[in-house]
Amino acid sequence: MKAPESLLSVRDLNISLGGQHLVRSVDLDIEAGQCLALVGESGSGKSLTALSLMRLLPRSAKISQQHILFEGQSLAAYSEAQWRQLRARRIAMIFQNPMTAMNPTMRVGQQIAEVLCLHAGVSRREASRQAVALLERLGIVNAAQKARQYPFEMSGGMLQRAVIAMAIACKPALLIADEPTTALDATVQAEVLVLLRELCNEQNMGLLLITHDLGVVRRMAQKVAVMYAGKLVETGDISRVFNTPAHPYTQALKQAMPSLTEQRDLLMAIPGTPPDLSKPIAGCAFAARCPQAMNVCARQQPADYLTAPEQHAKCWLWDPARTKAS
Amino acid sequence: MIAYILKRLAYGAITIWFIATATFFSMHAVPGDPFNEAKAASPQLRQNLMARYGLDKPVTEQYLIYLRNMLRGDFGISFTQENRQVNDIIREHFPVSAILGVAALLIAATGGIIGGAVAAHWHNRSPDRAMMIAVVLAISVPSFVIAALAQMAIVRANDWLGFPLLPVAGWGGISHVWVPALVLGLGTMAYLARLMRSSMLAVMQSDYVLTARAKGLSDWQIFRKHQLRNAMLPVVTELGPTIAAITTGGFVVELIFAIPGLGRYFVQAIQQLDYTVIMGTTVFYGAFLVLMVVLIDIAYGLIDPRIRLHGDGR
Amino acid sequence: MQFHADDFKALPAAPVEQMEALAPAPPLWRVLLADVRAVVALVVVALLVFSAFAGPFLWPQDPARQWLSQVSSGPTTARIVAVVEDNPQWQGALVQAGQLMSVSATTTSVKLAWPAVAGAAGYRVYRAEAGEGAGLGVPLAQIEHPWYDDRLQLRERAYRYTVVPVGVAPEGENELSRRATITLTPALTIGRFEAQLLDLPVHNGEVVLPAHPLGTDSLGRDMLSRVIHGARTSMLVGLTAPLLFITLGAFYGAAAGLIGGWVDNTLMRIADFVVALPFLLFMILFRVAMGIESGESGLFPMVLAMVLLSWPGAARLVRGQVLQLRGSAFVLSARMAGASNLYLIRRHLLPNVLPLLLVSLSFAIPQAIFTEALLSFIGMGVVPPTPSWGSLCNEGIRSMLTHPHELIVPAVAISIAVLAFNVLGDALSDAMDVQIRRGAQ
Repeated sequence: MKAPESLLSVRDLNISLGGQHLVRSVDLDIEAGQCLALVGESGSGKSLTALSLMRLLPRSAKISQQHILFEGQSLAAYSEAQWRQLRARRIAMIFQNPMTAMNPTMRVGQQIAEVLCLHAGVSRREASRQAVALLERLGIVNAAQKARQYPFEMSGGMLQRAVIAMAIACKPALLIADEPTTALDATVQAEVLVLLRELCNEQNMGLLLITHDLGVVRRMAQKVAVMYAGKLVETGDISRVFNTPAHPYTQALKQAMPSLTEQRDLLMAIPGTPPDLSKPIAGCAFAARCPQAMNVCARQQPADYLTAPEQHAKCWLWDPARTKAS
Repeated sequence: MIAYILKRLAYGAITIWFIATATFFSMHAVPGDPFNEAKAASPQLRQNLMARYGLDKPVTEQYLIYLRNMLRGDFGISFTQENRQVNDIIREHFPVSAILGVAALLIAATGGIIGGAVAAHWHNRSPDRAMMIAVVLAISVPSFVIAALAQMAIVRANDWLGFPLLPVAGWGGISHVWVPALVLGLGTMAYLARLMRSSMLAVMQSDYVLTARAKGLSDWQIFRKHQLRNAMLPVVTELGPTIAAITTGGFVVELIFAIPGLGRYFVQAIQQLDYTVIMGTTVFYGAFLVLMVVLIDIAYGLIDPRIRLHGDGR
Repeated sequence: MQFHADDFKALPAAPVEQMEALAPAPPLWRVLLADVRAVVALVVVALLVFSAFAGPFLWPQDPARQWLSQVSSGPTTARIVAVVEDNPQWQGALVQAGQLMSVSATTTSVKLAWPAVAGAAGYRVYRAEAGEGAGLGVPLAQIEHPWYDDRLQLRERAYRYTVVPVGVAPEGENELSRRATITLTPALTIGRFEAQLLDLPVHNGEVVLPAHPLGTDSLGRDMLSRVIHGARTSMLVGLTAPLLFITLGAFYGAAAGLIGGWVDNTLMRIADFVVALPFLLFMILFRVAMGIESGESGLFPMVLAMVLLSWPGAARLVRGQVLQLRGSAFVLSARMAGASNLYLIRRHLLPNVLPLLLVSLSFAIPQAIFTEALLSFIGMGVVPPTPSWGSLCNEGIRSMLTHPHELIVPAVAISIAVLAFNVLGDALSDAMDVQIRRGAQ
């Protein structure tokens, strides 16, 4: 049941690409001004999910969903022309590597102005002026000079700020950030994250933050969704999921985080590899690597259980029949 | 930018000097002298001729005179036609070759860029496959064969149409330029098309094109503003060597289509062993090619900001 | 949902799948052979090289021998022909003959014969050309005997003969029965003079003419053997020159990269200058400088010029690799472990450089073949009668409109050779890419 004020609501999203069923029955809900973190390892399907929200996948990709509602409107039957109106104006996206995300032969300010000219219908001069103002807002000193520079002349952190400026130029309602700080230095990471949070608060912008770094999640998100092998295994309020993870995969992820405070002998990696997604999976996808796997896990996929207030997990451990059986 | 241009020009000047020197010493490495043939009957005549062409002086002195003359733009007098200056010959025939070469280059560049872009856009479908086959053929079949076949085709077409649509050979108006320029540019066009295609494919996969799509730009806008310019960069780099190839191929095309250009004159000069013309033309062509490469380097600096601002990207 | 009794018991631990040990990247030649076009190209190249060297032994016809009676002919098989005096010879194909006429073409005349007509004072023989309408044509002779040998200016066409008896009433349709049409084509013979010139053994007045699978050129020379001998020239130049200049360039570049410093800079500047020399012009210049006359073949200066002008490419390639390796981490650590220069060269430099050089080679070879063909075409390389594919094209152009096979055969030869090497080069560089990618994984 969708909440009436939710910004984005997706149910039962499935994506197939190249003969592989890469995203399986994913549900997402984001509210205005809220940050949802989508966590998972490489290959779990998080980037694909994000790209599908803006229909940026190649034409050969097969996407289906029960519903996809944005600001109350259904996007399911949108044409490409309608999607173009939506992109950058209402939903925007930023990518991991700012150096490759920008056109190397075009000035930075020009690239920001481009999106303003396209969607806000302003003149080129006005767009350039606004671009400089945006860069200033994003904390870049000498913004006017920097706007006339080319991407290769700027550092990674600065360039990512410019990328963010480009994304929020038209004041979109939802920002999707795919690993925005992974390619940056640790110190710069924190700055960029703070900036993102400020902007979201300021403009009541929803943020879908995709990352594999749990530390980033803790700082930024109110809700988290954990993906494994194309499926959502656990979702819920950030402190709940972080303090008391319900799904064995989330538990393993938390254990795998290197800690500066705790004394540990071994770096805990999760043994085994993710499953082959070109074949249908019987049972729970994580069963082969799960330390708490049971017989039913190999046989049948678990349903979605409410494990605590504002926390859901898809795991047989939480089936009420189990507590009865023991 | 200024420093970049000056550096390129200086480098070019030294290269031209090198070419002139190499030419001079190659010619003077020949055993014997040019008057060994029946050209000079009596020793007196021979001495006169040697004096006339300055061949009686020591080699180093000849070299300095040669350099000095060259700086003044004087390439000497033709060996076989004693009342013609090499300069005049060049001045008369080079513009013809230049027109042919420029036309060929324009055709090659336009065709190559458009062809490559089209092939990349319809990647792995019929236009792409057709183009790749055409490219392979154009590269493998020798230019003189293509020229001969083209002439044959013109003759047949003229017969079939009943009136001469295109001239088979010679030089005069713009209709004389089309087919030779096309034949001359064909090999280069194929090469550039292949280059453009792989460059475009790489650009199409890039992150910044994805960003442009995420900004809501249409396919055409993305093509025009983001893909084309970046894809063209490697093609522009290659324009330098292609000018050399077009110059070389020009000789054959001029021969077959009876075009009175410098290349055809050069071949004739060789057959008649006209030494001054040979040397003068070689140095002239060498200098011309160097100038072209320098101009292209400068143009490249204008297009690619990475080169312009950070000096030599190579 | 139905639960089973032991559903919630622990799943017996499956053996954890180890990540497959990454197989080392397959060797280059195996990747290459997996590519169909590479295999085809290799086969073609092998055939070319083989035929260039062994061809003249397998097809021992002399490329300079002129078969005067078979100028510009298309492909023919071996034939037995009669030796005759130098009159033109005919053979005839009967098209139509009336019932009362017999006609046959012998090698020197057309023989007509018909049954005698009672009461005829003589017979008039008419000859018309078959396309000229239904008239009788030209009267050839009036004779008394019922047979006639026509030798009058016979040409290659269809003749219609009519015989009209003189002195009897017109016969109506019997006239048609003394009519015959016959098509004449020149018979294949060889003059006695030519047979003597070519020193052909004569048996029973006949000689054997050898087969010409690719026809003959405008001077009657066998195309196949000319193409094979041309292959020799082209392969010789096309293989030796690139091998030489690539090896030379490789050493030059390796030296520059290993020594480094200002020596490296100077050496590379020299290489840049050499590249700036206009290639074709200098090739021709060298030829002239070595005193080769316009009518002579200059293979040596061609190869020399090619080598002197083309080595910088390979030099830059190898130098680049050397510099890359010098700065790489594993070489540094190998050095720290005490590896000698020779070991590093053998173990690290060569395996990386050799494939690149091979790719260079497979693109340099068709370039060299092209250049040789071009130079020979404009008369600056190999000149007739020495066959080279370029000079064959030159000769073939003159009879392009009437006998195109003389141009097409050498042109196709060049194209196939160039194509095969280019495809091989493409396949090699693709295979190397695959190797790099698999190795990186």
